Amino acid sequence: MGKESISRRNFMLNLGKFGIGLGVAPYVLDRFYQENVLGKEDSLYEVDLRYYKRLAGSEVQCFICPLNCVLNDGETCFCRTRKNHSGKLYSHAYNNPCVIRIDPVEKTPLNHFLPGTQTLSVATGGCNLRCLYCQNWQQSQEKPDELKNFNLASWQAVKGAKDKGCNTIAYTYTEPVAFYEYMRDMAVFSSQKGVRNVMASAGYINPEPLRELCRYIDGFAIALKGFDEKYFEKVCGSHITPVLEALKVIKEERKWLEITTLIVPTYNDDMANLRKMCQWIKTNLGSDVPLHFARFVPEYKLKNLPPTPVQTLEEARKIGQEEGLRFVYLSNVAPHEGNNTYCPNCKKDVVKRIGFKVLENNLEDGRCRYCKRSIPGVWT
Amino acid sequence: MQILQKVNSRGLDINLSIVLLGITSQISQIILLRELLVIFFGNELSLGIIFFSWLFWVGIGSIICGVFSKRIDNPTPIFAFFSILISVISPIQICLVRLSRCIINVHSGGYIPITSMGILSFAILSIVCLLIGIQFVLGTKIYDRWKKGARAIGNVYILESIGSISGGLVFTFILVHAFNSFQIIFLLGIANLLISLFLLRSAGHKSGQVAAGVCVIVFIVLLANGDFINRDISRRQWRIFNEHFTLVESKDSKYGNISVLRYRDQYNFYENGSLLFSVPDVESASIAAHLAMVQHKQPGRILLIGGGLSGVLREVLRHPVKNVDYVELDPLIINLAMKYLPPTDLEALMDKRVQILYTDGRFYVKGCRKRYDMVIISIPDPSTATINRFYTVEFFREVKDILKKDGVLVTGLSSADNYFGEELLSRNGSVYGAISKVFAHVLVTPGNFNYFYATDALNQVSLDVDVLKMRFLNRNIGARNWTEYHYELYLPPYEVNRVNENLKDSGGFINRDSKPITYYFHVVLWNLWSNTGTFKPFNWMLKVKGLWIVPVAIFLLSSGVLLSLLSNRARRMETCPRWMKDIDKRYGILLAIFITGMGGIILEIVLMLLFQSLYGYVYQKVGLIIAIFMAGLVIGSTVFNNIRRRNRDFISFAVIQAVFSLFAFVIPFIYEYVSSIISPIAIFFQYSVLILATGFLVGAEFMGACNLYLKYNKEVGRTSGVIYGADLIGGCIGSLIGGSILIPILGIFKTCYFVGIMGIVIFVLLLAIFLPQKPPKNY
Repeated sequence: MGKESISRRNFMLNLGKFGIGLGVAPYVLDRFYQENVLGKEDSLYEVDLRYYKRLAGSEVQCFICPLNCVLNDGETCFCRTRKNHSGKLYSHAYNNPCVIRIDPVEKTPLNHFLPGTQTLSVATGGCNLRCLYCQNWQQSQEKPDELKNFNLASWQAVKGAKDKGCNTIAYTYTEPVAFYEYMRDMAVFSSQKGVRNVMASAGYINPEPLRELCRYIDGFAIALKGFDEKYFEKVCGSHITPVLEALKVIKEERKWLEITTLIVPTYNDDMANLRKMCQWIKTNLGSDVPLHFARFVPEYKLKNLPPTPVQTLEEARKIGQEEGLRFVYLSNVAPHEGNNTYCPNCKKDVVKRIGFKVLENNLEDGRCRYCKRSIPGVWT
Repeated sequence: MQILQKVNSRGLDINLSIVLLGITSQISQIILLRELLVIFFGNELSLGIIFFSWLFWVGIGSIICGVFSKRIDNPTPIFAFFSILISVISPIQICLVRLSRCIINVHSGGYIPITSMGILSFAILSIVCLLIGIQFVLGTKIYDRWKKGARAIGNVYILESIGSISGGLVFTFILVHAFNSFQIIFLLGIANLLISLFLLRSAGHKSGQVAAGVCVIVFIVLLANGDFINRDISRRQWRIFNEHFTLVESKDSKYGNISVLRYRDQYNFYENGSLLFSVPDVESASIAAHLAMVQHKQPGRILLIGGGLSGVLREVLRHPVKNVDYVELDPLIINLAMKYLPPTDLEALMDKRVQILYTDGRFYVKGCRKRYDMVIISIPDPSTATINRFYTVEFFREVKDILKKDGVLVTGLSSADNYFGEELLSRNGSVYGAISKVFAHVLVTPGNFNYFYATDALNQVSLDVDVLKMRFLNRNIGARNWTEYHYELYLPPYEVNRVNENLKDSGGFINRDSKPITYYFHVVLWNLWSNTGTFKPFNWMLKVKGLWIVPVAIFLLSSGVLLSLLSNRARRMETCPRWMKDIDKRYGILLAIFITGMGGIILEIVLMLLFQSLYGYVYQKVGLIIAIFMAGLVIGSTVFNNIRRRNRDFISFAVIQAVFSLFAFVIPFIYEYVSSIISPIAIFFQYSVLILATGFLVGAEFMGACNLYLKYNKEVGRTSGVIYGADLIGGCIGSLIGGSILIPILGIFKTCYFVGIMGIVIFVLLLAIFLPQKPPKNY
């Protein structure tokens, strides 16, 4: 039996099997490698000692955001992501995003940042705010450990972004401050690899960690939720002063900044107050900072409140323009002229949009095609 | 009727006042329920909580009065005074309900947490309900003068039930159309005050008469200003809801309350406290209409169930449709909308292609002979069992029957962007499961609202942006707020994929008429929206299995047997304390009446739900069904009131108990049979018989228990107090767990079996207690 000659048929069959095996092997190996060697990135990350302090006993205090939580052993920060493990502060939101998707960069919302390009959006669970109207309440109001998560290390994200033709990675949807370490490390890595980073945040962060971020993040879409401390406390569960500070820091660091204000009917649609806000923006941040007024739709704990009337949004936009802000947009309402970018000089529409879809781009090297005025923003 | 004939002239006022007690309690129950639902944005659980508080307090009232019954020598003036008290407190109660949001720490427009909801309804309903319970017992005590013993209780029970029936009917058919809540309460108050005036007069109580007289005058003045009071209080109510809104109009129909609130140039329509739609709202109407209408290549005949007023109808008509049948349950919504809708929407309503039909959607679909290209269902989220009927397998089957072969079903549920948590996925997944049981192709849109498009035809529904763009462009529609680019905005391919994949493996829940799980999941979600913490009491209930009935049964049985042993030993002692005497028997009777009260309510809910699913929600019919239940109650108790003398109290009581549990077991089989019937009249007839039988058994059991209990405690007030109380306390637990937990989680069949098994356990318990020893004669 042992010395039987192999028939040609058997030989061909075996050759075929071998070939298939050879063809599949790299794929299998790659999967194995990714899943077991590289893919199993640790979702626990010890927070940088600059951003937390060990107190007496096993207590620690976190300094990432203005809440400055003091935690006993085993306690979790308000943001649900940072936990005290026997006197060391760990982030549970690392390499474990629950949302990965590809969006137009306008969705962040950034209208002056590489318009018409795609961005890879990443978010983990948790948030250091408690907005009653949260659009991401399914993941922001939970601990990351309790969600169904992907496994995504920085290098995978960068590779994915490049494969899918995304120029940027966006840290968005939930509050990136809650996954600060993950965002920072990914931003460090991706900026080395030529992928830019944008952050959509409520700006509720301490100046020091923010300054570090500014080294790697190219564009900030900050939600200035209103201009009234009471509103911040009641609806968002945060405070206004740190947010205004953060905006100034970003300006000082000369990073591209756009501001979004969600107008919630009867809560923060007082026009006098919005006017004050626009004035503040102009004095402290300059009139080139784009301001987006977003339309509220009934959501989460405010399901019983009607959507913002378009009329209110239009009034707000008019106030912004009256106060001298050059770029005031309306988002979440389309089609509307408030979606477009107009040249401050010749008043022609240099970028035409419907919602966050770019229809026409009349910019040439960051200048208006018609009158050659330079338009502030990140265009190339 | 025999009773009424026998009544002499002296008994007329007390007879009338007991009937009036029934009317008062029924009507104030309906009114307070409606008012509380507006505050709570009613879901099925809040219904349960309200009924729980109501029945609990009435039960407690009657028990308290039963316990102290011996000390009351002259019940008539007390009865009259309490009557006055009820009349005075009732309107205050409505004010309290309407203004209650300001006591709770809740943001404007926010959901009230379950704990606050419980405390609130418990506190507000307490006094009046306690008094109603007390009145019942006092009534039996007064009656005891003419008719002795069980007869007295029976007559009061029957008269009160007759009052309830007539109260319900009068409210539904007359009062709600002609008067507002305050006017109705004032009218009732005047009637109560007059009766108590007569009672006090025959009792010779001077100062009482004066008080009642003054109250009558005050009430007449109040009634004259009823309209103003109502408007003022509801204005305040909505100002607490949101101080920036102006109340334009608030009206009640038999289906509930519709309030129109203006904010700047926007009119917001609230149905029972929750936002129905607002106008003008270009965005949501356009999304709903233009995403749906391109799902069919040639939509000709459209059936729109609900939701047409927000602008959907207007946008649908921009597409090349032949005609649109628009079904709306409550004419009041359309009447109000006519006043406040922008002209373009009014034109759409007047369009000659549109036919408006005022009926229940489910009822219409069941009896419909037409065939449609599209059926668009635009109904609020399934927060109650009644709304849930529009999200079940059976309903989707019925829809499929009225669709053409290539027809498309459109429905939707609220959702969340980017990520499905467990609760949301289970809720929307259970509806997805139901639809995909019926249709071959189901597609779901992403975003904060999931639209479901379902069909059997190939290449009909699609979420491919290019396909939809082409269909839209080919129709050449002049929609102002919608362009072909919007398909890109709302249907990002990555998200479309995620949503459909996630829903496909969402845990395998399927929403059925016989197991309406979706509204339970809605309550779970609702708990997230109302809570500030992450307290999730409802998630673990899903894991509860039917087997936990075993320890409950063992506990009940062993407690009965233990008591029986204890009491037998006590009997042999020389100095047996009075309270120990026959404690096992009293316990057995009370437990039996408690379980029957619970089971009776659960069966009633089961039957009502099945009826609404199989037949449709036709208000008059539903009102009639409730009346039939009460009629069964009356007949049952009358029959047993009269066969009392044969001295077979225990046997007859045990037989009813056995029949009741068997009846519970039979219902599922009858359902299987009835669901195959198509003729609405036959269904109605079947359910009338079933519900009559339930009422009969509950009534008979009540009387049986009274007869038997009187053997061990001759005091009529005490007997009626504790029996009535046990019955109601059982009922309150049944109404809390029946609709909101048992039916959705166990399903209707297992719920019936649950009632049946509990009944058998009690039957065995009764045999164990009563059989070893014959009840003492001449006791």
